[in-house]
Amino acid sequence: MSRAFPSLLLFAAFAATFGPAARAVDSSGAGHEGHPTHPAIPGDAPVADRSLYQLPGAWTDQDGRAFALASLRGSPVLLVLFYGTCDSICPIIVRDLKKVEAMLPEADRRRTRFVLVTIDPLVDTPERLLAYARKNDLDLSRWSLLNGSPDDVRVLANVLGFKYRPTGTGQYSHTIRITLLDRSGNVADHMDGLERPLAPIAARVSALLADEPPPK
Amino acid sequence: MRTIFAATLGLALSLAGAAKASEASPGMQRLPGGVYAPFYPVKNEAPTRVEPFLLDVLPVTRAQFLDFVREVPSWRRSHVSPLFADRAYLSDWVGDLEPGAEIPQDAPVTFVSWFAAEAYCRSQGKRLPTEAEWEFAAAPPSEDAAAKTETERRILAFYARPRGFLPRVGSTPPNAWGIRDLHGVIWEWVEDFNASFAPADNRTDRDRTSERVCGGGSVGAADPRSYTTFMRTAFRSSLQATYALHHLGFRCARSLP
Repeated sequence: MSRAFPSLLLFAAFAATFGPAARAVDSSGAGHEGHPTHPAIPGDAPVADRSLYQLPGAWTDQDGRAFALASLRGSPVLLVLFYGTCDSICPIIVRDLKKVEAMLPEADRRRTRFVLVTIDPLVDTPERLLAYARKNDLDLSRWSLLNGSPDDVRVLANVLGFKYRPTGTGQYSHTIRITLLDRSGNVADHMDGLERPLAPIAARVSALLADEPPPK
Repeated sequence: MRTIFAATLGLALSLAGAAKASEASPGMQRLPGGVYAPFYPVKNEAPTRVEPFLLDVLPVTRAQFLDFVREVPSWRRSHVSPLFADRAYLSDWVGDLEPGAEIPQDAPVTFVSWFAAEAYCRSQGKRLPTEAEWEFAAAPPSEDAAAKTETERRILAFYARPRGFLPRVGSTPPNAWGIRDLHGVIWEWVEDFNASFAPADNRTDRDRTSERVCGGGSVGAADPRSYTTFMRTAFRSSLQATYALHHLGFRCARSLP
């Protein structure tokens, strides 16, 4: 008790500080759909929608075509933020993604999407992204390399928990992270660092594909 | 012709180190830009060049944010996606469109996530200031050493003081650049709030462990006296973009063409 007491005091102080926040907390937990007092307004996300496909932003692919993230709906997606002139980490991640691609059974491979989004959109034009795809022998039937505005990239990065900073020399310091999206665009998992094994990633992708298709 | 004149005038003023109220953008002040030396420099990284830019003189108020959520229902408290804001979002409001009468409408809006702040600025044709821009705006070079020390003292006093309520915006005097409330009212979101401690070396699979701020130590700091800058960077680095906090608000910036 004597040990718990200070914690309680701390909690009380915290609750007092953030008191108003407590009012807003919904005890029913996440997962409630809609809202009783506010009927859905067309175009609005349902309250518990965590899909990345509600993100704002206009994206362009390596062929210069407009690309809607929501067009990925229905497929598991391996998503990576990268930049084309990155000569250290990014090539390793792209190589690892290709290894995962190769590990997948043929039927699963055809139903999986691989998406690289540049954090250096002013340099990585669609033309350069296409050159990057060719140089790395990426199958563009399932790989997409995307360019967006710096603001849209920052929003996407913050949704993914991906930190980056230009070093002033054309390079970036950045998080090392592969994100797996389920077929509705929700984050299924993040794989961080370079030491993580690849086989479990392929297994996760196949597991997502084995489930029933998500409701429309 | 007028544009050229205005641009030339702006340049002349910026060369003189002055800021200029922006006629084209009411409520914003033009800042001259310069070099921002991060308080915590990283080996082999160049100092950040801050281009001339416009910055809101005041933080965004509750009334202004109310106008925004009226316009954009998806940013109302009951509609916002958990992807973009935690459950504290606008939690000191009475309802979706009711900020409540307890707090003045011209107090800064707080309990807003980074995503909400970003969306608000975007809706105004603006953007969030970068950390370099914000810190640049907060430290006009015209301040002498004594003034800087006094500013630091005031800031630390503010940081040390718990506050139950938020004052109206504009309650602190303008700094040498005409910007108000950078210190003494709230903490503010910046565009790249979490960039300072991005992993330093692309070849190692680590965060900047050895270069991280440790405890109260500031041996690596460019100017250990700027302890308040230190605190701000540490605070920002601890944030997630979905956080909505009692004393965390924002103001917007705009790039010059």
